[in-house]
Amino acid sequence: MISILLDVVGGALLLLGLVLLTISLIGVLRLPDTYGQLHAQGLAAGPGVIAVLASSIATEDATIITFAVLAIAFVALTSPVSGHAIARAAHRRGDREARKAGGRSEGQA
Amino acid sequence: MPALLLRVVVLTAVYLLALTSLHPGDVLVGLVLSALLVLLARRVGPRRPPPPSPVPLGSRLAGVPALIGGTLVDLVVGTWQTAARLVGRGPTRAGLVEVPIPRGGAVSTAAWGVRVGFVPDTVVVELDEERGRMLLHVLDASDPEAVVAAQHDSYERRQRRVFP
Repeated sequence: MISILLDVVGGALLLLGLVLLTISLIGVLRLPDTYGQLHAQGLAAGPGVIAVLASSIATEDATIITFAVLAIAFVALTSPVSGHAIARAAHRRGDREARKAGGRSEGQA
Repeated sequence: MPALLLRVVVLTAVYLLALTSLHPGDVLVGLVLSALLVLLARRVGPRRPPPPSPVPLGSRLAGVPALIGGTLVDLVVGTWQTAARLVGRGPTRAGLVEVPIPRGGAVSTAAWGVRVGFVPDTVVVELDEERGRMLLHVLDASDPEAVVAAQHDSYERRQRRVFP
């Protein structure tokens, strides 16, 4: 009975993860700016991957589940850092381009 | 000293989980490696020690379930809103919002950044510990004051007890 329940929960989590990864891919392709794409990749790198990893409970194998829990912990700690690094780079590039554009228009005036 | 011991224990636990073993030899190697890492981190880390936390360690540990549970709630809500936006049914007024943050030190600021950055509907753009500000990109920036209030409420209820 528990085995069937774990199969169902694992399958549901796998399906949820794949749906989130698909939506994330659509978002990366649809959204035009870096920040929007970062929201989309955050959906894949956070909840999408976590749901896929959590579906490992269906295996009922302690070793696999342990690795999945460790992977979830590391993903939870590292994905915000990578998103922040890209966002900061995009923000600084935007600032620099705005300054360049401002300097050019001042020079032309 | 208790904080150092806690770090050694947590690192050893991660090592043993990665090995999936409780063999005494593995435990010993894990303890030695963890102690070496913790000592090395103290030597190569910042010279100025962090100020002592005003909250006792036991109280901080008791706040961990609320921190993890609350962050999971934020994650579910943020995931829903982001997914709705990406399929074209969510808020469309995305933008940057500056959030004032308390100057609680580097660890508190980093914890705030990781907690907020983990949720897909917010992206941490800048974290300025010295000026006490955090620049966020949010999917719904139509009411910046509401965003700031929500962030402060989340900090008070989830993080303040563990990382003040």
